[in-house]
Amino acid sequence: MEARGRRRRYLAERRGFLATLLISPAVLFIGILVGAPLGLAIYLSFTDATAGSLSGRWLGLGNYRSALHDQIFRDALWHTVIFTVISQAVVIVCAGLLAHALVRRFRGRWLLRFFVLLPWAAPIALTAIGFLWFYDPQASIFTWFLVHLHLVDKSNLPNWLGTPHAAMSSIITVQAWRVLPFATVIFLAGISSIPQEVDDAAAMDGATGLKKFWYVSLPLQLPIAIVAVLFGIVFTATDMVVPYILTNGGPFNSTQVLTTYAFQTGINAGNIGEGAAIALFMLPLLAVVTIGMLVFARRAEVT
Amino acid sequence: MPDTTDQPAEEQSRLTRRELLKKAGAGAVALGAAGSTAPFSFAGPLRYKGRWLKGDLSIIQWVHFVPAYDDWFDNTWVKQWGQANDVQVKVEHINNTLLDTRAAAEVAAQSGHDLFFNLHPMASYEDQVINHASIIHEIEGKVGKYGALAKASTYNPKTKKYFAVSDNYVPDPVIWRHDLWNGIGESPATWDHVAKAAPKLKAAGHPIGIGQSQELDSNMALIAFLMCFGGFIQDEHNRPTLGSKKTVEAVKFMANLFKTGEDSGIFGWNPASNNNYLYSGTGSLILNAISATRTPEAQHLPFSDNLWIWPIPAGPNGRLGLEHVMGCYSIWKFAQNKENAEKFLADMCIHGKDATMASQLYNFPSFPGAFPFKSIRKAAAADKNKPSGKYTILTTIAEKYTHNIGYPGTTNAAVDEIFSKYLIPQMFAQVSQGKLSAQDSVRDTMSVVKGIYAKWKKRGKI
Repeated sequence: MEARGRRRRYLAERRGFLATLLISPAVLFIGILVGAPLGLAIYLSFTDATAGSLSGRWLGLGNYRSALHDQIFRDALWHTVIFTVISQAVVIVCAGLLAHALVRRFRGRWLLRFFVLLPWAAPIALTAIGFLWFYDPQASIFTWFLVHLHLVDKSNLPNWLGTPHAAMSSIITVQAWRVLPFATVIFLAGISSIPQEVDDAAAMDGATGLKKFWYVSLPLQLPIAIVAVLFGIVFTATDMVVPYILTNGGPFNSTQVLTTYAFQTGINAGNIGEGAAIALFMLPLLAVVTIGMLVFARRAEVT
Repeated sequence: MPDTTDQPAEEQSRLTRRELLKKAGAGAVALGAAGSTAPFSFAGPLRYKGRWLKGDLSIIQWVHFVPAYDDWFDNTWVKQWGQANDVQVKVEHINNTLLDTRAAAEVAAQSGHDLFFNLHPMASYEDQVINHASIIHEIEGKVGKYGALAKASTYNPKTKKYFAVSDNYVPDPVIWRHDLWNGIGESPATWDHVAKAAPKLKAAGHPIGIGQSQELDSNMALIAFLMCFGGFIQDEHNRPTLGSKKTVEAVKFMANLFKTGEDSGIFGWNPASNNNYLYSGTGSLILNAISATRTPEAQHLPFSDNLWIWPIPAGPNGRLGLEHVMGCYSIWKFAQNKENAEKFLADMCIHGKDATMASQLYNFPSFPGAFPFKSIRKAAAADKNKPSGKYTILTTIAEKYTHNIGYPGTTNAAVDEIFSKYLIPQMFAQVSQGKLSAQDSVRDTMSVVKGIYAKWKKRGKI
């Protein structure tokens, strides 16, 4: 008995054993929930599997080749890049401004921070439906304001989701609104972590305003800001909720992104193999972006 | 003082990330392997081994647009059927837009509901479902022939398999404001009449409301419109025929109708938009099922008595409409309670009259003998809403002008894909918005359609 107890104690005190034991469930969990579906998706993308038969014939790169020849896919790829880059550019600028404003002490700061965070906490399906009403061709509150401010003509009302450029701008706006709180919080954390001594030293050297931001604050913030940007890029490029609910890819595929097109092809139209290939097209691209940004963040780290 | 030197030497060194992941991976594999060898280690013992689902039946279906139907289905029909057959029936209702996703998930898991309902025939799932022929023959023995529309929607002549049983379909009339049209001395009898009236109606602030968006109602309206002009997705042998001169003419006609008589909002519509357009008092004509008239009646909207129901306007090729939705039940091969599902489905179709009445004449039985048109007409005539007897026309629409998607061929996986990818609304919209000429748009769409047909033919489904 005593020997067994000693062995248990011995094992419990071994760092390697304990670490393995504690982290194994998490690895197993990730393996089952992320690794297995990803592996299955990769396999399916090489087959002609349909929704009605998950074991298709092996096609090799056939689905990838046919996707590249598909004009809608090529458009969707381009739209994904536009959707991701513009929405994240808006997020970076707005989050930077908001974070610098919110780091100052003023009355009602906590309330304002709460409101800034709210879009992040709200379920996206509900908020997207809310925006669907805001953009409604007949009952849009945006249009109502513009009409009452005499900024648009009543006989030529804006069609937020019905014309290609307006529809793309609309989904970009909602996506930026959605990701902004997270980026702001991360930026805020970055700014707050800059020691007061650095600020004082910068002031002593005469660095103020934009100069201080460019030469002092930004380099110190950069590694943490990159995490927010990276997350925003991956999150936007792989998410379909906003375009799916607001436009369903329309009008005539002008807001079709890879995720919505993969869903339409794989699930609605029943071509699981093709759908998987479309969905996986972003994987290597995002992997390269992720690695590149992490390397950059490491180099930018100020020690 | 405790002796700390008896710790193993290597424990003093830090684990690298690589080492940790390696060990954790091995641990995860060991944990998983242990779990798989002990069958109940995660879920606990099977307390009801050999008994589960015996005498049970699970059904998934949409949330009906007419709430009274779900009330009747859940609280009357299912309860009575369950008691009579000693079966515990569980019904799950989900939003209609989620049915396709759920079907894919159930097939992927090879597990799910015993009876799966969808609003369109799931042709691409043919390999995953039983052949429903015996159920159809059983029902036919009681109430007569399966309707031609239902057969064309659920039977694959190539594989000779019934991949679903349709219990109901919904006629798709044109709904128009009699007061507004009367004011300009017109009525939507033909598409030429619609084109003539549209500018006047728009000028009066009441445009036409036919969508050109990536959604269900635009899809249905535009495919039906196309057929009225002699443009068809495929012929009676299920060969693609979209790229015809008649299709080009139809696309040009609709682009002109948009320019003279519609709002640009139609390009961003969702399935509820045309209803809302009508309810707001703006729209003067839409193509939709009678849920679009039932809501104004229930809400006593000021113009509800002026909502008239007619068959689709006639075009150069006549009056050819589509079902608005095709209610179809399928039984998966992996269903646990096939016998119960088969009996439930057969009984449900045999008692099609109850379902039609509960849906306030929204559902029409796919086995016409279950509730003959003559009897439906009588029931419709008894409807108290004004104008008196307005719903009686539904039987004429159902009998003469309602066809399956893919008409004159059968509904198949290729048609399903064209429908799911909204290729027809896209073909119309890019011309109406001036992005492409009608010829180019039809040619480009036909090229995509050909590819889809070739693919499904190769898979042996067409």
